[in-house]
Amino acid sequence: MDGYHQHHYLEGEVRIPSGCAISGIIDRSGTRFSGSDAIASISVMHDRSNGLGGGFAGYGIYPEYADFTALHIFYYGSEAKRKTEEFLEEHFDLINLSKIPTEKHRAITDEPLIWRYFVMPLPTKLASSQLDEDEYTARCVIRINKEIDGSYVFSSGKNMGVFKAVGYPEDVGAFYRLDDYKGYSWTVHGRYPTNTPGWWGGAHPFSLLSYSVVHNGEISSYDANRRFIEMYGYACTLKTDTEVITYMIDYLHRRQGLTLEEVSSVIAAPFWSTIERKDEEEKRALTYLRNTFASMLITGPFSIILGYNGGLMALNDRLKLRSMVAAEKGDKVFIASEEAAIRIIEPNPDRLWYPIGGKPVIAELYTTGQGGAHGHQLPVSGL
Amino acid sequence: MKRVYVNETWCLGCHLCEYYCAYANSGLNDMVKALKDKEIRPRLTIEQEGTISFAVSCRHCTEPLCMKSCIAGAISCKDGLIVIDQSKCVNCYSCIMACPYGALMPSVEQVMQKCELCATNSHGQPVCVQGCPNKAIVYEER
Amino acid sequence: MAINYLYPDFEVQRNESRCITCRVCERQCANLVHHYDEQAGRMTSDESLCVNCHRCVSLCPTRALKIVKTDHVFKENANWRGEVIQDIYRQAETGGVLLASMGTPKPYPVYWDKMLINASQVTNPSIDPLREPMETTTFLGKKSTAIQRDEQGKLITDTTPQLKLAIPIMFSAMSYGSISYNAHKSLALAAERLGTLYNTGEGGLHEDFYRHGKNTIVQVASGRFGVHPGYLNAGAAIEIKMGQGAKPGIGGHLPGSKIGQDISKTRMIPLHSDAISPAPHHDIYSIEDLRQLVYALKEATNYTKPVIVKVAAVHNISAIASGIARSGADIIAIDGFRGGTGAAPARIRDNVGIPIELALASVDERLRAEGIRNQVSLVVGGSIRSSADVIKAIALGADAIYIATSALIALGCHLCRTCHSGKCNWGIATQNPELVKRLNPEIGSEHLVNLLTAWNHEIKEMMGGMGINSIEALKGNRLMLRGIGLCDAELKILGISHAGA
Repeated sequence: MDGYHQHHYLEGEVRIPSGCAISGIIDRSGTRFSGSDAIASISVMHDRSNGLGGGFAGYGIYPEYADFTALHIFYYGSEAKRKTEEFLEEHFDLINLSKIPTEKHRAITDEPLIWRYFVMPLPTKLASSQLDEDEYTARCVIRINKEIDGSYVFSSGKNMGVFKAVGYPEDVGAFYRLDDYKGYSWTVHGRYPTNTPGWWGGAHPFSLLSYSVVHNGEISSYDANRRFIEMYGYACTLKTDTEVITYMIDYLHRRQGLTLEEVSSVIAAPFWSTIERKDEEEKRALTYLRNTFASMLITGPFSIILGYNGGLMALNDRLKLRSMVAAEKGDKVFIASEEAAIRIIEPNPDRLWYPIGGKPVIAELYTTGQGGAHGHQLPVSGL
Repeated sequence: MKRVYVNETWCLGCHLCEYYCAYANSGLNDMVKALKDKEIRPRLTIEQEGTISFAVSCRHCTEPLCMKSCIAGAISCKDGLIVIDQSKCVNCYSCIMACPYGALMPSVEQVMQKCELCATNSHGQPVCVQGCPNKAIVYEER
Repeated sequence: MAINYLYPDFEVQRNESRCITCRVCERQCANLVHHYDEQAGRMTSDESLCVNCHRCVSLCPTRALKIVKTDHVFKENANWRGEVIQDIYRQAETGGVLLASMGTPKPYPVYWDKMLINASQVTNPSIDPLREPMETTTFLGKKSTAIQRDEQGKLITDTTPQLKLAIPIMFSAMSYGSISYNAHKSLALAAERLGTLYNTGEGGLHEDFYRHGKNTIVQVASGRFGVHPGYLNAGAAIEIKMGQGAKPGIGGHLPGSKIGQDISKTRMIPLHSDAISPAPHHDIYSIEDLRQLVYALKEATNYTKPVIVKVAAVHNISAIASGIARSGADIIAIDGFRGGTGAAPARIRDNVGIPIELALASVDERLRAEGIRNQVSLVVGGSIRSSADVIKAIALGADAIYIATSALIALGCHLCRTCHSGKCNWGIATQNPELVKRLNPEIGSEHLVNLLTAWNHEIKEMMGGMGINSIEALKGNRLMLRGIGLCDAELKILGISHAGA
C-alpha cells in the first residue's frame, strides 16, 4: 500500500460510511448574509447527525481578498506547520496569514492548529510549470495533503472558505464564530459516521479549489470511481464518497469544460431506456457522455449540494434514494434534506418542491455565473 | 390439424423414435418392462439409405386410401385423425396394400396398427417428437 | 498388439436388467465402442475405444449405461501418478508430441473460487431488480481523452468506433475447422438474438455467415487464413490474434484430414494440406510492427471498426498490455492459461501461461497507474464458468467477458477432451458430415440464448444485491470483492482485502 494510505492520522485507514444531513442557502442578488441561518437550519436536523462531524462552506466571505486563494489548514504539531509553510513559501506569495478565529466550545475538543493563508502562485514558478493558476494550486494542495505528515489543507478556494470539525454542526458553527462572517451562499453538513473518525479532516464539506461538496448517502460505485479519477492526478486520501465526488466534478467541470447539466448527465446519467426516448441529437450527446465517462457514474444513494463561485447545484441519485427539498423566496433559494430545515429560516417560501432524482437544481447569482463552459443567466433550473 | 413432420436434414437414424413409439403404445408406464426382451412393432419406421434417414409414419391423409380400402369398416376419420378400431379388423391386409406410404402394419396381436398421434394412448402428445434428440421430428400445422 | 501398457481409463457399465437392446448406443458412438451380438441377443462394449463423451449415456432411453473410472491402478505414488507414467509409455511408443484438447485439467488454484462478493445492508440499500431498471449495456472501444465542441458549442460525438453489447459477454474465438459449420451457425444466431458478438477464430468467415456480420468479430491470426478486404469489412470489429491462453507462444494446427472443400475455400488454402499457423506473425517482430498492422487494418476498413488485439496471459502481461494500449488498439483481449483449444501440445497447455484472474488484476492496475485505462477496453477469457465469475471479473476491472468452453458445453460438449481426433460425437469439434448433423443450430442457438439469458438475470440479481444498478459502476470496483484462503501476495496482486478485513 502507498505511504499515504497508511498514515495514522488520516481517516483513510478504513472506509467510513455515514448517514447525514445537508442544507444550502443562496441569495441570488449577491447580498451577503451571516452564517447563523445555516446554523439554524442544520440544528433542526440534529438527530440526523451523531456529533462526529460537522462543517460549513461559505461563499463571498472574503471580498477584500477576492483575487487570492484562501488556504485553510489543520496542523497536528508544529513540525507539520513548519514544513508546510516552507513549502508554501517556495510556491506562493503569502499575502496574509493568521490563525482562524475560534471560540472555545465545550463540545469541540482535541482541536488541531487551524491557520488561514491568503496566497497567490509565485509568478516565476507558475510560468515555468506551464500550468494555469487553478491546476497549479490544486496540485500543490494535493501534494501537501499526500506528502506532509500531520498537515491537511481543507479549503483552497477564492473568496470562499470551509469550516469543519468533529462535533455537531451547530456547535462547529459556534466554534468558528460563523455569525461574524457574511457570504452570499452557505452550505452545511452534519455527519453520522458508523466508526469514530478521530480527526477533523474527515468531516464534510470536502473542498478543492472553489468547489465544495456536502453529501448525504453512501455510494456503491466508490471504488470504481476512485480507481478511475486517481488516473488524473487526484489522490483519494480520505477514502470518503464526498472526496471522490468533488474530484470528479472538478475534473469534468474545470478540466474537461462540461456544463453543470452535462456533469449531472455523467454522474447521475439517465437510464438507457430514458436516453432511447430522446431526440437524435440529445441521444447522441447523452450516450457519448455516459460512455466516455462511464466510470464516473455514481450508483447508490446520494444527495449532494455543490458549492462553487457564483452558485449552488443540488443533485440526487437517479432512484432518489435520499431526501431533498428545495424552496424559493424572493432572491433566496434553499435546499435541504428536510422541509423543516427550510421552514425554520423561511416559514413562508414562494414555492417549495421535491426535485426529481437525477435532475440537477442549479441556483446562480444573477450576474454572469461561472457555472459551466458558457456564462449564462439561469432561472433556478431543475423542477 | 397438427401432424408429425420429419426433416431428413436432422434425422440421425438413431431409431429412438421407434422405441419411444413402441413404449407409448404398450399401455405400460415402465419402458424396461414394456420393451425388454420383447419384439417391438413401432408405428413409425426409419427408412435409411446410405447416410440419409428419416422416420415414416401415417400422414393422416385428407383422402385416406386405407379407409376406402377397409372391407370391415374398421378405419374411420375423427376430426382429421385416422384411427383403427382394432376389434373390427379382420386382417385382410387391404389397407397395407392401399397405403402409398407403407404406414400401416400388423401389430404384435396380428390386427392392424398405425400412428394415431398418441391421441388414443395415455400420452396425449406424439412421443416420437419428444423422443427425437435432434428436432428432426416436429408436430405442427402446415 | 502383443504387449499393451495402456489400460483403458474408463469402463462402460451396462445395467443388463435395464438394457432394451435398442442399439442407439451402437448407432451413435463414433468410436465404435458398442456392438450388438446377434447370437447372444445382447449389447457388448469395447472400453478401450471409449473417450468418455457420454453420447451413449445421454441417449440411452432407460439410463442403462454409465461410464466409470477404471479401478485398475498403479501402485500408489504421489509423485509418479498413473497418468504421468502412461504419458511416458505413449511417447516411448510413438516418438510424438502429446496432443491435448480443451483447457488444462491440472489442479492449479482457481482464483474465482477464492473470491467473495459483497451485498449492501443497512448503510446502503440493495436495489430490487424486479422493480428498478438494472442496466447491463456495455460499450467497448477507445474513449475520448478530451471533450471537443463544434462552432455552436455542441459536443462532437463521433470520435472513435464503439461496439454496443446488450450484455457484457461475447463468444470467444473458435475457428471454422476446429469446430463445425453448425456450431458456428448456432453461435451466430445466438449472438444476433442476444445483441452480442461471436468470433470467427482464425479459420476465416464462411460466406453463408456474412449476413450475420453485425454480430461478428473477424479474426486475423498469424496464418492469415481467409483474410481479404471483404472479410475485414464484413464484421463489426477485427481481432488480431497474437496469442491464445491455452498455448501461449505457438500457433494453431489443423490436420489436413479435417480440411475438406468448404474449409479449403473459406481459409483460402489447398485441399487436405495441413493448416499450420506460425508462432509469431511473420510481419510482427516488435511492438511497433503491431502498431503498423493495427493501422493497416484501420485503413483497410476506413477507421469504422474497432481493432482488438488478443494476447495470452503470460508473465509480463502488464507491460505487454501497456504497449498494446499505446499501439492504437481499441480493445485488448486477454486469454488466461485455463482457456480451451481444439488441439495443442499437452505440455504447453498444462504448463505455460498464468491465470486470467491475476493477469486481469495486474493489467487493470497497471493501465490505471499509467493513466491510460480509458484508452482501451479490456475483454477477458480463459475459463469463465458462471455468472459469478463474470461479476468477479468485472469487479476486478474487465469491461466484458469472452466465453468459449461454457458456450460449447451449452451446445452439448461433455469435455471428453478428444477434439483433436475429429470424431466429436456431439457434432461440435468435427468436420465429418454425419457427426456435424448431430448439432441442430435451432437447438444449439436456443441453448446458447438460454444460457446467457440466465446468466444475465443472475448478474442483475447480484448487482442489485450490491446496490448497483448500472454495470459500469461495478467495473474495477475492487471493494466489492474479498479474498478467502488467499495469501498476502495473492491479495496484493488481486488488489483486494481478505474477507473479514
